[in-house]
Amino acid sequence: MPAIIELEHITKIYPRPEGESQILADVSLEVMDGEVLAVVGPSGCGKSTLLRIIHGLIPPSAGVVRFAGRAQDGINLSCGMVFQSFALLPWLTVEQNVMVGLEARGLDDETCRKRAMKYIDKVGLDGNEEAYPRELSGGMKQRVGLARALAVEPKVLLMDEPFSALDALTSINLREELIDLWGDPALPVDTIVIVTHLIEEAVELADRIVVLASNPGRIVESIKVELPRPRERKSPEFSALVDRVFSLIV
Amino acid sequence: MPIEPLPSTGISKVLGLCEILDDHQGKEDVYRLAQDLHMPFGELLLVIKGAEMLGMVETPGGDAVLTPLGKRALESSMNEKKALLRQAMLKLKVFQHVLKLLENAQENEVPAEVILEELAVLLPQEQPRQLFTTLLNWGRYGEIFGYSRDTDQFYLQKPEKTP
Ligand SMILES: Nc1ncnc2c1ncn2[C@@H]1O[C@H](COP(=O)(O)OP(=O)(O)O)[C@@H](O)[C@H]1O
Ligand SMILES: [Mg+2]
Repeated sequence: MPAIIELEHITKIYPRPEGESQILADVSLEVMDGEVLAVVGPSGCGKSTLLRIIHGLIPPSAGVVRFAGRAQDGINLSCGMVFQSFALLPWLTVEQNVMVGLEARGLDDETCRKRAMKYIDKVGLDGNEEAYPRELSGGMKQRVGLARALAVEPKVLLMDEPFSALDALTSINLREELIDLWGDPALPVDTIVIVTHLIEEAVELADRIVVLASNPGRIVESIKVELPRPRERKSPEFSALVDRVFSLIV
Repeated sequence: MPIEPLPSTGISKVLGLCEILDDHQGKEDVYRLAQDLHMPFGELLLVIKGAEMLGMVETPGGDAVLTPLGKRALESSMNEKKALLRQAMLKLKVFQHVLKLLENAQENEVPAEVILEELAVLLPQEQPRQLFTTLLNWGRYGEIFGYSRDTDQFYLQKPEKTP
């Protein structure tokens, strides 16, 4: 499996009134083509910052990001992002929310509509096209967030704590459906980078888990998850891995 | 048989409950489940009630038990799962009633007011607004009916052109 994303010696420094603050220190990481990679670490350790650097939303202070072998400069259009806060536009319907990102990419009306319909269908939102975000439950809102990200047909899906605002039952349902989508050969997306502070979530979803430590944010360990799918959340192997990751964080 | 109200809960939660029960070999004590999930007991009861009405869970004694239908939903593709839930919803009196109302309406649509009044008459003990929201959310998931806030109309879903 070749690397689709390569981070080489990434450092991020923010200016602070009391002096500079180093958020990420010398982070080097490869995201393999086709894998689900989870990034875990305590709150404030720089997970979201790292994801934004991968997406090209913010530049690193030093270091290089490569995508498919090429040094990246600016926003990476081969990535789609899903946010914890859903990031929906409240004055637009579900269908319009899914379409805005497509229109921005210069696709014609007909293509936008077809594409939006395809992904609305894939995430199980059929029948909700005309709904406004505030009419929807949290789980349905995040399905819209997912459809929006998928509709641009990204190669890599970036997810920043996508299920953290949802209750336990809803998030378990959405995690299962995410893995189904990832395994769906009809979707171009085959690589997922998911940031989470929930260790169980990482063990459930990921092929590999990267553990970050804080102050400054740096990689302390990379762990392969070789549990077969569908994952048995109650198995001793699952619990053992959760414990191992937990011990690396505290 | 009297019309049963819909519990104020969502389909994502019902499906999540089925997943959890599956993790527990299909059966778990409701009280322990609430503790396990760090979920308020009352809220979990609403989810269980919803799952039970849809035929996905049964509740003998103090347990919640996954039914074969619930298990099948977990193993189905997205569109199969939605079709399965649609069928389950259509077995409920409140859905049958609203469906009939829409089928007999001009253009198969009525103002949301009409549905609200209908719910208030059918289920005078319930909060009609809350019931409306749940009915709409379930009905949208099952692709049975929809609602446009722009026109304030409740309408019958046109039959899907499923590929
Ligand atoms: N634009 C910014 N300017 C200054 N500091 C920031 C900025 N964005 C994030 N930080 C700081 O960087 C650190 C890491 O933030 P973040 O990447 O959001 O962490 P995490 O996602 O792991 O919780 C925090 O201390 C945060 O306050
Ligand atoms: Mg964050």
